[in-house]
Amino acid sequence: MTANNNNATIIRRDLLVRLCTALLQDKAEETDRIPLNIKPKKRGSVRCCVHKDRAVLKYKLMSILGYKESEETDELLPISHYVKHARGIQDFIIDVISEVCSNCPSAKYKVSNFCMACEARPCQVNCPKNAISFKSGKAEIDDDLCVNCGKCAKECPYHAIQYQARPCEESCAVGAIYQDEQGFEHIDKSKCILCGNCMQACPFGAITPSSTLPQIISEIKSGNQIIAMVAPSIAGQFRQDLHQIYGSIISLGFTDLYPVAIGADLTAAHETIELQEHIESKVTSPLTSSCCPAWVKFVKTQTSLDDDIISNTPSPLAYTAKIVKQENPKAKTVFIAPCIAKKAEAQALSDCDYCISFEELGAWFVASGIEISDQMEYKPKVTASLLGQNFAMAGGVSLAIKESVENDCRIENIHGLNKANIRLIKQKIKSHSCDFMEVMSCEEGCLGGNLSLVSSRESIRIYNAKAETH
Amino acid sequence: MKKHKVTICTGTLCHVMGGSELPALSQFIPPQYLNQVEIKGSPCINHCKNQDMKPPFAEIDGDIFCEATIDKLVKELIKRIENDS
Ligand code: FES
Repeated sequence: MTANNNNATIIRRDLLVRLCTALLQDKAEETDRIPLNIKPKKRGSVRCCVHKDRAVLKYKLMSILGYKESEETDELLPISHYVKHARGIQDFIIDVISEVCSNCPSAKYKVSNFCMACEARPCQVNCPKNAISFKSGKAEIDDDLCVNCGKCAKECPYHAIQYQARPCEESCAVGAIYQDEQGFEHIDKSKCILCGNCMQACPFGAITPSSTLPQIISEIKSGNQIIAMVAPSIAGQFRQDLHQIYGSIISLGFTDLYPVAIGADLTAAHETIELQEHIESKVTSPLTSSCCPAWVKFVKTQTSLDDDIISNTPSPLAYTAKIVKQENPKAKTVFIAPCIAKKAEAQALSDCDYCISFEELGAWFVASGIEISDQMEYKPKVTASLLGQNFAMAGGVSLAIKESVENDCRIENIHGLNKANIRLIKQKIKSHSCDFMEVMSCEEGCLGGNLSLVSSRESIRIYNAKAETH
Repeated sequence: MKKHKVTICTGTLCHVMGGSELPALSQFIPPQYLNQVEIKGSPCINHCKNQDMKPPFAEIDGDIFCEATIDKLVKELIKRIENDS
């Protein structure tokens, strides 16, 4: 299952588009019909029945609006009630919606009825734990003995042994998602680094991030000054010219727009100085980048890693938001971001009032009927260097630092916080095999952000095609 | 040689609703057939106004394909090319 092309993702976007449409038209009541419109009776159902499918959509919408299903005290309250009292992002951006979670059986190897109970029995012969018996006539795995090594599945000539996965738990590299006694998944907030892997992995879409779109739209409707701060990775999200994308954002009703790449220039300059001092101080561990909030959170939750390895340099967003607020003290600021972790970072920054993802931006364009290629170009007052813009790519931070650092230094970059890379990173830090390490939680860095509209492969293609013409 | 004309909608709605990868179509067409296919992208081709069909949209020789995927389009093209001969 790719993160981008599956129905769970499309349904999430569809919900955002429909919600946005209702908000723009001031027709909150229309949202009560969303589940019926998406799941009409004649189209059949994915779950037990169409009514369950519709209920699931309601809970997903509630989650988008900042409500947990457990807060539903009166089941007769319609969706429009939550729309009218939309809360935005609460203490945590993502959670598992129990009504949507499908209680996936625990991950283990299982024997199917393809088993022929053959004479060779390579499953039994090769099992290192003696977990396989043939009591009932066909192979049986003793779950208490089985260590999930998978040898039996590899050996079976009939492919009769299958691995039954639990996708969310498998995708989480930090063990933050777990099942309770009833079989429902929960996120342990003290361990979660907001990498978004579980959201992308869940085939039922049980993890639906909350949104501040209702608040932003109402700010615009009230005529307040509101300024967009756009992450550089936006260039990989739409095929059109960057200035035309900016123009489309302005068309949504923003009073001005600042590229966050201007903050990236400042981050690069400051981080370079910090790195020079770091090398001169002869500390025995590398300095690591601070701009990916999932990486920062990862280090903070790992007892084996010292918090000091993260640079103290503010992120591009922090710099940009500060500049915007200084220049426009009355304006509300909205960060347009590639991922869940950035939404959390924005939430914690006092200079940043709201944050939406590329996905929410896309839904907003659709709901407003904006065709990007028809929009006027918009050239921001301040522009960034190419190096700042390149923070979008994996390796972009390293590149900018390499350009300006005076000392001879060893720079590495790692993107994708999966189990294998975590081992690699820890080993590099321990052995001090580099002076500076850029770490990005998403594969391909921000171009592969987990709330993108485009796969990381395609977003790199789009990004590079633009870079060539410039 | 007869060329099969593919129009991929690159309109904003189709792009957001699952069509963002479709413009890479040519990479998935068997190389021996590439010279019999002409692919172009176009801003909104107006099928999204029809509520009965789901995006993303593409057209092959003027026929509409909804909920288009690379797979669907490649299969259809191969079928059409093989029918020609
Ligand atoms: S955007 Fe594709 S048909 Fe309208």
